[in-house]
Parts: sequence; C-alpha cells; structure tokens
Amino acid sequence: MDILTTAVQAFLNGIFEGSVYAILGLGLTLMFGVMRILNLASGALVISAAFLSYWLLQLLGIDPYLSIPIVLVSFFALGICIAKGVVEVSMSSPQYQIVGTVMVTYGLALLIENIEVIAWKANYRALTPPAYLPTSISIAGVMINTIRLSSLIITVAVAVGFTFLLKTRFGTAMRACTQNREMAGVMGVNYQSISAITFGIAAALGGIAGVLYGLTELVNPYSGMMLTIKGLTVAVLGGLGSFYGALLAGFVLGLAESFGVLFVSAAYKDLIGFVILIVILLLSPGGLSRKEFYTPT
Amino acid sequence: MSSEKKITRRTYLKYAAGAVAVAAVGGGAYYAGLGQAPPTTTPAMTTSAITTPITTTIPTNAGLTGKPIVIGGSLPLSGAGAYDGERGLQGFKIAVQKINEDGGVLGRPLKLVMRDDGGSEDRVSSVTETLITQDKADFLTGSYGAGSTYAALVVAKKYGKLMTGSLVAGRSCFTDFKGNIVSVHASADYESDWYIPFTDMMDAFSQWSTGGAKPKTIAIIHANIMWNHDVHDHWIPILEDRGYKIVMEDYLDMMTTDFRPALTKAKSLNPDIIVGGTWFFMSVLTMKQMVELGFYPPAIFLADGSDFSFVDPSAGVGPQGNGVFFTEPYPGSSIPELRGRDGDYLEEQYKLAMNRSADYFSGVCFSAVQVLAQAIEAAGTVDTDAVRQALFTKEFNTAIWSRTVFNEFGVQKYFKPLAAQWQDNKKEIVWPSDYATAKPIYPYVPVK
Repeated sequence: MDILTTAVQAFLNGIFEGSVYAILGLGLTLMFGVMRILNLASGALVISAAFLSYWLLQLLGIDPYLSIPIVLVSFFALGICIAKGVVEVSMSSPQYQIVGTVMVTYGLALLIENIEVIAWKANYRALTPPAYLPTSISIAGVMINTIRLSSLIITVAVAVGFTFLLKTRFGTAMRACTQNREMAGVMGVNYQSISAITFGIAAALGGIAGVLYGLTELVNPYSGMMLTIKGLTVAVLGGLGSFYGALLAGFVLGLAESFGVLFVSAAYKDLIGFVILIVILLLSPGGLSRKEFYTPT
Repeated sequence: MSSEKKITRRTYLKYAAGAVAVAAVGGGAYYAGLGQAPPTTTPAMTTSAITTPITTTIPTNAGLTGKPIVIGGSLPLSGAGAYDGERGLQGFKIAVQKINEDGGVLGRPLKLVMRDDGGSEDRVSSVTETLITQDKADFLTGSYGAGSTYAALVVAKKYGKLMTGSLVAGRSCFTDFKGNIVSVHASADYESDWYIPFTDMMDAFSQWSTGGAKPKTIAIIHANIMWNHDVHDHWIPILEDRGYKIVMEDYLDMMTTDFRPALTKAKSLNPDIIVGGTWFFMSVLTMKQMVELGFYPPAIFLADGSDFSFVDPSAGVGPQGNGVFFTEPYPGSSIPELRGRDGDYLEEQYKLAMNRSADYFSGVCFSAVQVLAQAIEAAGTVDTDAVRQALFTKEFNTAIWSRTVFNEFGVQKYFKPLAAQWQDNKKEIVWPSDYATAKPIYPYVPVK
C-alpha cells in the first residue's frame, strides 16, 4: 500500500471512529450544558443499548438498523425515568450537586453493568452485520467499511437533526437553560421538564451509539467505562456544553488517534488523545468551541 | 426558579412506587421468557463467588475417610476474564471429581474452594487471604495471569503455602517466589515455545509447500502486557537468527478495541506474516478488522486463535477465521493419543458440562490439581516441605502433558505445543508432520 493510500485509509479510519466518539460526546455535553451534570453512566447505557439490539436480533430476528428506532424510543423513555427518578433526587442539595450526581451516576453505571452480566453473562457478543451490506468497498485501494460508513451517515443525520432541533421552541429553551437556567426559569422555561427531556435525548443518542458500537466491536458488560472516558474526553475537548464543539471534537480525536498510531505507535494511541486534549485546553480553556463556562448565579 | 428542592414524603413514595412497578414489569417479563439469555456456548454463571465460594461436594460413596485436603484458588469468574475463568473452573472441578472417584489422595478426599477475583490483583490478595485463613486451604492453585498470580503468591509465601499454578506465565512469579510455585503452563521465557512450532514450520517451508516464496517479513501487533514483552524478548532474536525480518513491532493498550490504525500501518509494510491476538477477543477483533481493511497477508498467526467459536459466530469470526495459524498448546484436544493421564475423562466430562471439547485453559487447570495430588501421594504426607520436595524432583503424568517435570524455578520443562491452522471451519494440526492432520496452507487466499 503506497503512502497516499495509507494516509487516506488512516484519514477514513479516524473519521469513522470519530463519528462514534462524536455521538458519545454529544450526549455527555448535552447533559452537562443543560443540567450541569457529568453522567458517568453514559458508557454503560451505550453498552446496554448494544445488548438490547443484540437481543432483538437473536430473539426476534430484527435487523440491527431497524432496531435503532426501537432503541431510540426505549432509551429516550429510560433517560427520562433516570432523570426524574435518580438525577433530580441527587441534585436536590446544591452544595453536593456535582459530587452527588457523579457518585449517583457512577453507582448507576455499576448497577447497569451487573444487570447486564446477569442477563447476558460476561461473554463477548457482537451484532451480526446484515447480509445485504458488503463488508467493505474498495476504491483505489482504500477500503471503506460499509457499517462504519453508516455510522458516519447517522452521525451527520444526528447533527442535521440537532441543528433543526435547536431552532425549535424546545431547542431554544434548551439553549436558554445552557446559558443561564435561573434566568430561563424567570422567562417561563420549565427547567425540570427540559432537563428530563434532555437526559432522554442524551440517552437516546447513547442508544444509537450502542447499536453502531455493537455492529463494529465486541460488546462486553465491562466495556462501558472506557466509552464514558472517551465521551468525557470529547465533551471537554469540544467545550463542555457546546453541541457543535462535541461533534467537531469527536472527529478531531478520531483523526489524532489514527494518525498518531501511524506515525508514532499503537501503544500511545490513548495517550495521544489526552495530549491533544491538554494542548488544546492550554491554548483555549473553553475547548475547540472556545465556549465560556456559564455558572448558575 | 430555585434549584433547591426538598424531597417530601410524597415524592419518596412516588419514586418508590415507580421503582416497584419497574421491578414488577421486569420480573414479569423475565419469567414470561423475555428475560432468557440467547444461546451461549458457556453455561450460566449465576453464583457470585466473591462472598460465597464455589466448593465441590465430597462424594459419600467413594469410601473416603478423614479430613478433606482443601485446595483453594481464585479465578476471574466475573469481569472481562470470566469467559476464561469459567473454563478453568470446570477443569479444576472435573479434576477433583476424578481424583475423589479414584479414591482420593492418601485415602482422603479433595475439596476445592474457588473464589472469584474478578481479574483484579487487589481482590486476589484479599481473596487469597480469605482462602487461607477462613477456608483453611492446605494448598493453593489458580490464578489467571502473571499479575494475579504474583499477588496471590505474596500472600501464599506469607503463610508458607505452596501453589500449583495453572495460567501463570510471568517470569517474575517464578524467580521471586522460587520454591513456592510450580506451573503446568509455561513461563514467559519458555513461552516463546508457544511460537516455536509455527517458526519451525515456516523454516521447513520447502518440505510442505508446493512452490512460491518462503515468508521473510513479520509484523507483530500484540497487547501491551509484560507477558508479550517477555516472550518477544526471547522469540525475536530467534526469528532474526533464522533470517526473518521484523518490519513492525507494536503494542496495543489492553482496553483498545480499534486496531485499524495499527493494522493500516502493518498493511502499508506488506508483511508476509502478521502476529497478534493475545486474547480471544483481540484475536476476533484483529481478524474482523483485517477483513474490513482488506488486509490479507499470506499468513496470520494469532496467539489465542484456538477458540474462534465457529459455533457461536456472534462472538467469533465464523468462516473469516479460516487460514489462521495458531499454537495448539493442548495437543490432546486434537489428537487423543497425545492425551496424558485422565485426558479422556476430562474430555468426556467437559463436554457434558460445557457442550464443547476441553481446551487449553481447562486442561492446565485440570493438570494443576493432578500434579498436586500426585505430589502428595509421592510424598506420602500433606506436609508442605515434603510435598515441595516431591514437586521439584518427581515426574508427573497429567492430562495435558504426559511428561511433566519442573525445573528449579517451577517451570514445566516439557512444554511441547503443536502448530495448527483453521481449514474449512476445522482445527487441523499442521506441524510437526508426525502429528499433522493436514498440510499447512500458505499463502492462504481467503474467500472474500
């Protein structure tokens, strides 16, 4: 494989991996932006979405792509339940809000993990890709995996969908809560409803990421924490609370890792990502979006 | 709007009712059959052995008298290593069952006490302490991996206990605890023997090939763990002596699941052989992602390619695994005549328990108990020093190696694996030719 082909392949590898990172980060940044919480259970939710899709495939023969709407709706509802039943309770005391939500969501992650172990055992599982999709398409020696291409397409669709959502009444309310929720409340925004729905949306995004992850990787109940760390990295890199920042950061991280391995070593793949994060934060504390951190007054 | 909200009794009751409703729905769905896990090749693991150990029952009809000899050990029965831990546990259980059926050791029954360490070294330490102080283990066995075994050995040495290791490989376990451990599994220095049959096969290319160029270049992509570094320190000079060129030697983080950047780099170097796949999941992902990238070197050698789970393609690679070379560290699994003592019994009982043939993990665990039992018999006593003397001076016959002898560090001297290759969805022994069931296929041209 010549240098140009290798470089293009590395670029595509980074873009495809970055698309999953982008969705992971988007969910986390949404929750932080509106609710000011760091959800450590996000990775566990992604894995449980993958297992749900696996179950739908094995028990009911539902194509993984067709399972996406089912997973979306289920996880949207689940997210609202978690927001109302767990997160709101932990946020009841302002001075322990951040610590409380971190601990509660971490506990939730452990709970979800162990439920998964009981339901599906610790064995690795993978979603069998649909037979109608070729594994990869070759264009001038560059291999384009169709499933990873679909991840990119779905991520772009999510980004477009978000753009429209932000322009709606709900989206405006969400943005208002991100900027200053007390003032938003004064203006008539029901912050608690917005928070719950935002959590639901973030969980639904995690559901999409889970199905895509299950199609390309091996899923194990203990894989969730690694995904949470990746998502957090992307959210911080993009600027906590910045939706487009998270999208961009996902791709930046994916590309950094891909080219980092090519030119340095696979052993430093994650290190490269964190170095990029630190450098960017030193240059721009608000992340790629240069978003200023709004604190509630 | 104030963010302070007092939780009233009404709110608590509302949430509690919600939780009960969810639990009722979930429980109802489970018992209605919606909670059935999909078919799996391994049985359900419902016992949490962290607080409650798994113990074997002592048969009442075997005429066994006297206080049981307790063998304690830990394995990852939960966590990412549970897949291997479960296989090892079956090996231990079947060995104890067989020995008790045959009259025990010195007329006394064996009792196995196995605890879950979750693959965590911190937990191994506390679990081993519990095995010795509460479960009153006379001897130890297990663990899984160098780190866990080292942690167990620290505690074992403190209490003066002997360990017959099963899946320990790190060199330091043997050097730092000389005299406290023997292992049926080879250490990292000798672990390079893992790759030697494959290397010998490639060297003898002209003897089995029908033409074409002999492989020359090798790319290595392995997990970034001590075991691999130790092995490569030993194996790479051997390869270079034999005229091979290592074009890439790279290591992946243990938690990584995206190998494509490293595989893309390897593909650009156009190697004849790619070596990788430290564990089962890494082997599967390596294969899958090589197919994604259209990367088909003439030979692929995966360290843990012996269990591609063709039966369960949702976790394995299915027919895409054909052509892969790997080491068959348990020759008896493919060639019954090479099984050692009670190898047939292991195979039969393992199939009953797990619905599949016995593999290396179950074999080494089975053999670890056999070695201990034979050493106690040879010593004529359960006295630790006498058993130690027997372990380091006698020769043993185990299921996995009919000839098992330990060197001064406790390493099995006669580790003689075979080279194998997946062909037509079947495991074929391809080297040495004395035991070959098929000729190696090189280069392997996959059906895309």
